[in-house]
Amino acid sequence: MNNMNLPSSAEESSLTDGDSSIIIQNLLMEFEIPGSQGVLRVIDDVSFRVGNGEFVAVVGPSGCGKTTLLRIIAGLLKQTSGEVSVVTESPHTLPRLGFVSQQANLYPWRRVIDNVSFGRELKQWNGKWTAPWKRKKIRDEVMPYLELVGLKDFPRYFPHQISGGMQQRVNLARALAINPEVLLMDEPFGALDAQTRENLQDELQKIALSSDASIIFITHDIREAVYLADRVIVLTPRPGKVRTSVRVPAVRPRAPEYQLTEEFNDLVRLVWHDVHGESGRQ
Amino acid sequence: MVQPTKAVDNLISMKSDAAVEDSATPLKKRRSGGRRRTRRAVLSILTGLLLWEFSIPIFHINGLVLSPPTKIFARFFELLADGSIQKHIFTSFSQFALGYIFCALTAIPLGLAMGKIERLRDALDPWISALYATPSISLAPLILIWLGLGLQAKAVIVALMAFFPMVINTVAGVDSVTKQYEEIALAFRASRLEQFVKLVFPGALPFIFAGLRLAVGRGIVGVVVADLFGATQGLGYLLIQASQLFNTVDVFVVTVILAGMGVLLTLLLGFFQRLLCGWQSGT
Repeated sequence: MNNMNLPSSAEESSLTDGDSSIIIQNLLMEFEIPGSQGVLRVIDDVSFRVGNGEFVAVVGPSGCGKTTLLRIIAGLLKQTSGEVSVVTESPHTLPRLGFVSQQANLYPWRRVIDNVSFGRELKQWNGKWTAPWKRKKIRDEVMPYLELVGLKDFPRYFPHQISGGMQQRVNLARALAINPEVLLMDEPFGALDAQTRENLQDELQKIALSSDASIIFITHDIREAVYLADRVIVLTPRPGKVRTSVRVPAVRPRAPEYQLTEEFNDLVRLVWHDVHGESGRQ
Repeated sequence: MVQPTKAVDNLISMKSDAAVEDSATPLKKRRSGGRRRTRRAVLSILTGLLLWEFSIPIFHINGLVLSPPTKIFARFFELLADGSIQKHIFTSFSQFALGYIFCALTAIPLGLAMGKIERLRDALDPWISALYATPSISLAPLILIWLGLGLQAKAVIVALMAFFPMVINTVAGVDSVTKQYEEIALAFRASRLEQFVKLVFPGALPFIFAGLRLAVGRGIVGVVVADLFGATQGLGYLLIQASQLFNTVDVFVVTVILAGMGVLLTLLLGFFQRLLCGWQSGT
């Protein structure tokens, strides 16, 4: 294999605490198996770092614990052992985490604009309790995020009145509206048609650069991972371990034509072999 | 570079997203659909009244068995004019209103609490199932013995009747706010109070309204049936008197008033529901 396929430990050593935004150390996650005494190990000793402003994609065969990993970072699940730390501006504040789920899960009773402002209304990100009748100010504040995802004409629509692709844009805007330091994305484009996905991939590239958030992007689509990310982390089948970490050297944002280059296809092939390596032989 | 123009292209292509047109057309259809529905409802009622009116002379039905609608309405206005029915309507309505409002103020918070607090739900669920299955009206004589024949006793009976649909629907409403929605709130670090105010309550609201509507019917039944066990005035009292005198017309008058009360209250609730749950239209 070529030298881009570095073992993760060698890759990590190039990042120091100072320019890391997420540090994951020896993460272990086990679930109880229903109806038995045993435990199912889903994540096994995963360690990696994400640099400031870095775009990291995590790929792996289905069931390898990608989503579990993201949910632990998002604070939705408590790990069995190991450390997850998100570096913040000041040590006393909670990290500003933007979470983009696979299903848009917009609140059906809120209009598009009010879905975007959801995070902004919370005491955690606003510093104070917001009375429902004082939402106008927040609506004005979040409007640029709706514009950023190309939906400035749809603030008054309800989620069921817009398409799946548009809902996913709102989902992204909702995460961006709290001005996140870290953006956690769980297969955000997985449920979309190919055309919408391509549009959103290009949008995301621009947004990623303008917001300078660090991004962890979970996907099962290897091409998508290589196209979007600075670095692709490949997890093994369950229990998920970091198998390799592949750097994608091309400068972001990348034009769609990048997907036609030899470099891109070589990297895709490389990652493909890492993903399918062991599971292919089983 | 190429990028900026690409961005503009994307923005334009988004605006002309086909889905937007899809959602714009049904909006118009829905509005005219509402008018069509009202028209059909009115037409259906009028047809029913006409059939009722003319079946009596055609089939030679005895006036003791069935009164024609014209006669019922004439009698209603007669009773209104001589002022004898107002106090009965007022008595029954205030009994209903007091019981219903008291019930809503207890049942909805209880339902919300049961939906959120598992221990409470486990403890109360068997009681609710058991009491829901028993005809609450069988407790009416007891309540009249305890509280007398006045406003209090009747309001309690109304509340008892209205209680179960309100609680059960509120709990179902809390359950309808699924885990995925909750997860978003948690990922954004919403406090428990914020989760409740911004998630649980608005999510449960359509179910709460459904419970309130069902409770109107049951509450009205409560008012009338409570009067059957003893009353000095009220629509139920009037009903018993009329039936004992084989005064069919008056029985119908009371029934029509009760039905009208139910319809008006349901319409009122529907109005508030549309105001507060506008997002529901078309789902």
